[in-house]
Amino acid sequence: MIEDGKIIELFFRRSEQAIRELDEKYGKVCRKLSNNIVNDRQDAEECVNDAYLGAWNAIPPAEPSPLLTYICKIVRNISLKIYWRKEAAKRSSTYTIAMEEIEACIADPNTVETEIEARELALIIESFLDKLTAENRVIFVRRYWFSDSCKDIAEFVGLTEKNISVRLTRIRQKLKDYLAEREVFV
Amino acid sequence: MTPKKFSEAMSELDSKYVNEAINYKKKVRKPVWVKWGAAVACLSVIFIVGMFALRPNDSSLVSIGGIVRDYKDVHVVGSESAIVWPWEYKTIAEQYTTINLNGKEYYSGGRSVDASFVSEFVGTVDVMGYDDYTDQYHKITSEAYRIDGISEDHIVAVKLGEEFYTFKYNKYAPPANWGEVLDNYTPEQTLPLTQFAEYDGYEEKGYFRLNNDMYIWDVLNACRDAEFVEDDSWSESNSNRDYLSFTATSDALGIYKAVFNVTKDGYIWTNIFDYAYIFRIGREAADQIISYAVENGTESEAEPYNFSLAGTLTEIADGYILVDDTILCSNEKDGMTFKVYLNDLRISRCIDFGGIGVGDIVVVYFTGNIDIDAGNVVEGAFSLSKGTIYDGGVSVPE
Repeated sequence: MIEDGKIIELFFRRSEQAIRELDEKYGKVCRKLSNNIVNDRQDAEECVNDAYLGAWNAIPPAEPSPLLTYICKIVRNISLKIYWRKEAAKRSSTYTIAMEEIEACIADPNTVETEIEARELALIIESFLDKLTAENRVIFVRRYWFSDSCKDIAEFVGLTEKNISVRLTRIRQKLKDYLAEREVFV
Repeated sequence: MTPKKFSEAMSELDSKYVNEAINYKKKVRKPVWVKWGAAVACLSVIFIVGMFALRPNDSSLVSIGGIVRDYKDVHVVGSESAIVWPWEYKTIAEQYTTINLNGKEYYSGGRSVDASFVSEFVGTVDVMGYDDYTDQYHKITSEAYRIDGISEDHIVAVKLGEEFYTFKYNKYAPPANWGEVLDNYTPEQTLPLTQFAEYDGYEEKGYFRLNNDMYIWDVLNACRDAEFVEDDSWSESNSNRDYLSFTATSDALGIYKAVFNVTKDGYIWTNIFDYAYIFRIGREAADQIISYAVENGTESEAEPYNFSLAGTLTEIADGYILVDDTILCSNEKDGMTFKVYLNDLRISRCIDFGGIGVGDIVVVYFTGNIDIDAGNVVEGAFSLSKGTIYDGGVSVPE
């Protein structure tokens, strides 16, 4: 399969072959990621196509490396927009389930929360992730960034589904404590 | 904060975390049975080489359900497969696997429990099953009962057909300490600890049997305050631990050959609750258990997880199949034919649906003996799969 550098080169030459190569190499991952969020194949297909268009418009001048992470970020952002726009609650995607899991960990109805900026929260989550083992960090990111199912994560990291579900329970509890210590809610 | 805000924050994560999650390579894990001994064994593979004694002339003496066979230096790998059986080919325990009792979901592991363990009626329950082929749910109504010594908050017995099966509350909710385990499961009654293997790190020092485990439970019952240790990497940092590995089989708890380890540095490690639980009982208690077991244990033979035999499927008759092991024998004239009855759905479906036919190399898994007088009848056969013979070399399957 063609190297990332070659695909970027095609983008820079404004060759539409860039999109075909990008799709051939990473299309499957992108569709899966999108479908995890929107839970609708047609929507997922549209999100991925929009992401390709986004990449087409951004490269150049952008010269992303690694390319897969870059395209995944675009796919995720576009898919989330569709998710929230189109009756999120009825979608029942893995993303919905993952967000329900996390809700118990972050919502505190008894306090008046100060609005925290997403970037600020991201920094706190990053410092939390830095404290986890690499394996647990990957499990967390696969669940709450990629919205992978426990079964998919189990296959990916080579553990049982039950093990993944238990690890996630523990990590969420740790995150809850971590956020509470930093008074994220008050 | 809302999930949406959390999700937005996740979108802002530095790319390095996403890169890491994309490029992560799974660890090659040592099989559990390497770490924790023969009590937990590989389900899908039989090692024909080396179960008894290797002989110099490229052959091995192998015990097949107690019968010693002189086989070539080969091993047979059963292509055990997670076959998803159509609804009509599933046993009732495989069909109906979930109940909802008092708002909590319990799952069955398919293990039956003898009626003598079953006590008070707990309630009428809908038992749900899912058919993967038609994407449909099935439901029957049945009765749930308490199991002697075990809190119904954790495990109940549900009647399916004529038998009772254990259903466990599956949510991960570890106890704060060992005392909660004693209260919820009365392991002194429900979990015999009489068979064990001794390990120095990964080195296995032998298999032993105890006449009774009363002293061990006296020690364990005094460890009520032993705290639960939550540490995912505990067992991975384990190569230097010395420990006794007890075989944990209990109908009441719905477990078969799980492990209950006592380490010299003062821990209990067990997978009897589905997920690994660790308790810190302290060196003194661990030493009391280990010293007692070592002093009073008598040497015994290692027991495989299941028995298995392999050979060529030579005949599918009305009600049974014949498996001939000549192909494995050092001397072809020594071949034996084994008879496996098809009166168990778990065997007959392998022929009717599993695509196994005459001429195939097959592996038969069984729990009983081989009745020579009845014509080498394999008792307790519960699974049949195609096998592949590997000549020499060693392959360690995942």
